[in-house]
Amino acid sequence: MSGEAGFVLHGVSKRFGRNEALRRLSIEIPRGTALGLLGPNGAGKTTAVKLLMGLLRPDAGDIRVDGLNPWTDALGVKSRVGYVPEQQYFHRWMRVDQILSFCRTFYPTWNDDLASDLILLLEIDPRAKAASLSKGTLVKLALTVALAHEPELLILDEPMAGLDPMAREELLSGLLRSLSDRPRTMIFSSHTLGDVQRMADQIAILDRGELIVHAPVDQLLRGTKRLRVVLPDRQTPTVAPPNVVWQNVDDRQWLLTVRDFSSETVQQLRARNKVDAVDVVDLGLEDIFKDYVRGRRVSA
Amino acid sequence: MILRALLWKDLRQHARLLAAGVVVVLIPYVLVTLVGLIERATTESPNNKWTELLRIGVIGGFGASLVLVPFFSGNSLAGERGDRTAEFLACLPIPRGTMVTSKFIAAVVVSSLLFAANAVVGLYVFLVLDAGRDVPTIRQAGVLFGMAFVLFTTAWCASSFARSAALAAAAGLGIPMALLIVTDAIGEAAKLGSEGITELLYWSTMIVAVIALGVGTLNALRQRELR
Repeated sequence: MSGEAGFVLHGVSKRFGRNEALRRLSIEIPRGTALGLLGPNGAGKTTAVKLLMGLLRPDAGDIRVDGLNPWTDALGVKSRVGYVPEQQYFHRWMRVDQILSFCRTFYPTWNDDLASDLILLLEIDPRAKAASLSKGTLVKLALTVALAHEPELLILDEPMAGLDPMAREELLSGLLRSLSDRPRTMIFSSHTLGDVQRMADQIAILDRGELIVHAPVDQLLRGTKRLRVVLPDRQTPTVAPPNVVWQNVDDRQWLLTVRDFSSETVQQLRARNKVDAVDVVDLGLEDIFKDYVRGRRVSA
Repeated sequence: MILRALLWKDLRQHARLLAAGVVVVLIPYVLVTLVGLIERATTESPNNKWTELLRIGVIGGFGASLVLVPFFSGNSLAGERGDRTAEFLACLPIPRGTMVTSKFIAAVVVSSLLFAANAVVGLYVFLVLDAGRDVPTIRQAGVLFGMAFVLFTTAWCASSFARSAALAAAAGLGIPMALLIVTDAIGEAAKLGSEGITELLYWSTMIVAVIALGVGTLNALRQRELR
């Protein structure tokens, strides 16, 4: 088992009525890797996560989590994966300590000491009722439940959604500290790209149910550049260089975002087009994300 | 261990409803007590009718308990779907069969509690106060159990489909009522006579109850997708 990838989706499709939520999604997440799953609303992130957790049945394709099929072996997958869903629906009448002792029944690997440490670390009152907890504390509690059974695999589905910056920072710090003790295979879906950049080794971007990029974070940041090209007067671009992710021409300014950038990219651009000047600009994850999505939508 | 934890949660899930149920079941007793007190205050030579009034209270209590059955049964599956705690449970490694079993047991236990409390009062009234003069027959007790069974199972079945516990309870009350009316009308039209109509009512409700129990349980076990 140790040689297998933590999470594998192969040609996975899922449809809800007329809406095709995922279209032939294939992605493999090696063990010990943290994948940041990005995508605009409705991209299919939560559907992918629910499929991995065995909460949805795929219409087509094969899914493996720690070598198990999550639909046919849902209990095996759920006991191996720590999962923080997008929204927390604890029983409102339960106290925090009751929720923990309820959950521990279902996990043979539950670690009481770790649960207590996490409660302290994340500053959760064990006697507080779920109904009285803030959104941020509910997420912290969900994280405690997800980590206390010491899973090797973690799925966090937009855990920061709706949190204020302070709560987000507290949660993220707590998460980073609790993850530092052992390597885990993790999927972290979020709209907050800064958080993803801090957590993830690899990035996958989904849009309208399709995977548009999957690469290591450093490779994506290093290899994706914005070219700011100044064209001669009344000149239009002739041929774009290879690997263009997105481009836009506005009067004499031609903006291009390219992947797998190298010095040859500029040479090829100059060789095929009349240009006055070319600037190469580094991009942050947010711009890269936007350009990939915009580029796909233009070409679709 | 797993079943015990689930039972704890499922029994607690009915706690508010049970508290409301206790109040509802007490209403007939409160009413007969008021009638007794008013009679005592307004009559010059009060005739002691307490035993008779308590008999009415017990029958009213059983009636109230019967009406409450579909509320407990309807709350069992639809309640957690309605407040979305079912989504939290779906993320935990809980065998579906154990989860449904726990909900079923909890609903049966809570539904039976009010009947049991009434039965204790009833036994005291019928056997001690009334000295066993007019004890209900086994057949009457059977009718009461049969009605409770069909109300429970139809609400259970509705609860496995519905997102609202109130809707499931309404279906649990409404479907058997409609069935009684339709069956009675069919019996009358077919000129079956009172014995024949009673027989027809018994079998039609029992068949519906068993089908509802089976369909509801299978549907509860089958539902795994969390959309």
